Amino acid sequence: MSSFVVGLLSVTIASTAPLLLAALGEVISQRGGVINLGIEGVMLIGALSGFAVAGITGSPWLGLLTAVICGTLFSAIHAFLCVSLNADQVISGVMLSILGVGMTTYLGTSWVGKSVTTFEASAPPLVGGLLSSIPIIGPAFFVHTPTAYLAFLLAPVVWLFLYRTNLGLEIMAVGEDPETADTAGINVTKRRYAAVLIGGAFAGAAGAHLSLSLAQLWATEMVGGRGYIAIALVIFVQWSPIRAVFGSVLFGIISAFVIRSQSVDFPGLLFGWNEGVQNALGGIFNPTVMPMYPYIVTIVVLTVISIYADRDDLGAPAALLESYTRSE
Amino acid sequence: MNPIEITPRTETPDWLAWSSPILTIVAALVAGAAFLLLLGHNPLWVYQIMFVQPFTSVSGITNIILETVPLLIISLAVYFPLKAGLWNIGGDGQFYLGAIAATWIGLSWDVPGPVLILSMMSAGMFAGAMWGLIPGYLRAKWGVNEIIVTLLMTLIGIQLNQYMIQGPLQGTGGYPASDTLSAEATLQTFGATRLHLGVVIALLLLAGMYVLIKRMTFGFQVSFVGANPDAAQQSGIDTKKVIVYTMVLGGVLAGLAGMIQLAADAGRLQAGLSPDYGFTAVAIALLGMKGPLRVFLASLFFGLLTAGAVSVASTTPVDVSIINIIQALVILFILTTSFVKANKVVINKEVL
Repeated sequence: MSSFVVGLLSVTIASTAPLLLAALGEVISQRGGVINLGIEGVMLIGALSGFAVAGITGSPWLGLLTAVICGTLFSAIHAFLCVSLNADQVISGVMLSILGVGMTTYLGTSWVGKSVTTFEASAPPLVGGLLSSIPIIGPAFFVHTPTAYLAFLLAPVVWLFLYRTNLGLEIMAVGEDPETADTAGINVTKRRYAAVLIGGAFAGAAGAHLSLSLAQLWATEMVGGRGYIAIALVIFVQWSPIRAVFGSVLFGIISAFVIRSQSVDFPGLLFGWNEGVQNALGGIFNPTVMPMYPYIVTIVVLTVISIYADRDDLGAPAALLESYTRSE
Repeated sequence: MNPIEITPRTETPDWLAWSSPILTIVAALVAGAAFLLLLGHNPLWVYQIMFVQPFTSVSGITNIILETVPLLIISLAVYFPLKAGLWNIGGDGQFYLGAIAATWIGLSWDVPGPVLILSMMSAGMFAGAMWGLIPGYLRAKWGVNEIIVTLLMTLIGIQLNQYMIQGPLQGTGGYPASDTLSAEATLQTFGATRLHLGVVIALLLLAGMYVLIKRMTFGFQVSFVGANPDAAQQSGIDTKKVIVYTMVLGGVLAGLAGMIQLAADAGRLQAGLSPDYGFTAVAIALLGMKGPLRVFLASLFFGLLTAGAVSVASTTPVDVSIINIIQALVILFILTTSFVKANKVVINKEVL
């Protein structure tokens, strides 16, 4: 039982990291007023480019760096279309996803089934050795790959960036009310570009975590809808980088259950319980049913936000989905 | 002086308005050619196999038609709500719901063939309608963004399909797929060809959509709401009703497409029944914004692209995923040309 719990917790952390990284990036992008439905594609680009460079150079760190750069460059297409050409953000995002799927499927064929030097799970530096020796908690939370630690460290960093730096505050200003921001002398175009590009960098890193830490391989369309989960997550946590941690852990638990319950007969652990309860739990924890929960919950949250939108600002950037043209 | 000067156009020149879909496709093909060149393939050779070869044989032409059928129906499912200013990017979810409902009826009911087919169609349309009703109702009632909801409903629909083929509808083989439908539950083909009833249905739906948009009061109301929702509301149109009805009709169409693809092509419920038709339909509906006939032409183009990519993949080292790339490029250039249509772009050579 305790090894099952440790395994489940550990997989939860590892599967939370990509969702958290992608969601943090998407928070920044949407706070700047640009929704990026293409992060599924950006993550794929990050996953493949990171994997390939790690394979060629033998360094997962160079892989991660490449993934971040490629994610940034790839999302620049979205920034150009939405910010410079005032294109529809939804359509541009859908396009970016299709393009990412197409390009990585095409270019990734030769990397399928290859093994490369990936990140290894270890205790965090300095105090790590001590922490990882704690029973259950140690192996569950303090034996992970660098990208997993990075994801959790970045959440407060993103909060500080948005609320405590000029660039962050300006990004939020152009997402809230571009006209006023423009009048105040903020370059709306530049700040929105920054928001989308930073978002792309995060999604690229999320992709690298998938191929270099979580799965440690490249497979066609390996992101498997996590990009869309991240978008759902941003709405679910109402555009807050701190709540994003809790939201992505919640969604991460679901993915962990999906991964683990295929190897462990979960209802079997409850042997001795009433048969009806066992069946009900078996249905609720069914690995093909569970992936639906994040989407259902997000629809509910989105509906609640919409119902109360007039009464209270729940954090949705007011100018989200709107392009901005300076009126002369 | 800026190197590139952009001024909003007061009106789009006629030649640009008419030629823009063609310019869009040409630009996408040129960019696709650059990608192929970069990877060391001769783009002319690849395009020749992709766009010319399918026309040289009966089997090739049949493939184009069969690939066009589901695309055309799903595109109408995106096009119609788009007329009312709503984005149904969830065609795939409605498609899967249609296929699931049709499979369930097709495998469990023991009734004569024509009744069975009609029941499967009705079930498919009903299930698709429910999947369109939810985003439509949420949008009409509380203004919930239909784009996000249709996207999420698609993800739920795809996962529901996974659940069905590994659970209640799983077949006897132990594979993640349903049992194969009986001959009675399969759509008739005409004579010795592979063309099936779905071809006729798709054309009838196209004609029906044409009449609905161009000739019927409800069609006018939909276009009015799409063009100016406030004015439509003031002139007495129940915009909420229009929103719900268009989304439901979209769901009906996409659900029917799912049923047809299941009963004519796949023969059983399985994963990947839709290779992202719902997303392709977004591109088609954008290209065909000006009318159902254009939706038809754009579907035909993507049908040809799909059929062509399959023959490219089987005869050259180029992977079938080239379709996704060209598809994405088409959307990319749609967005670019609509900017050029709205703005005059002048490049000042002296500055560069």
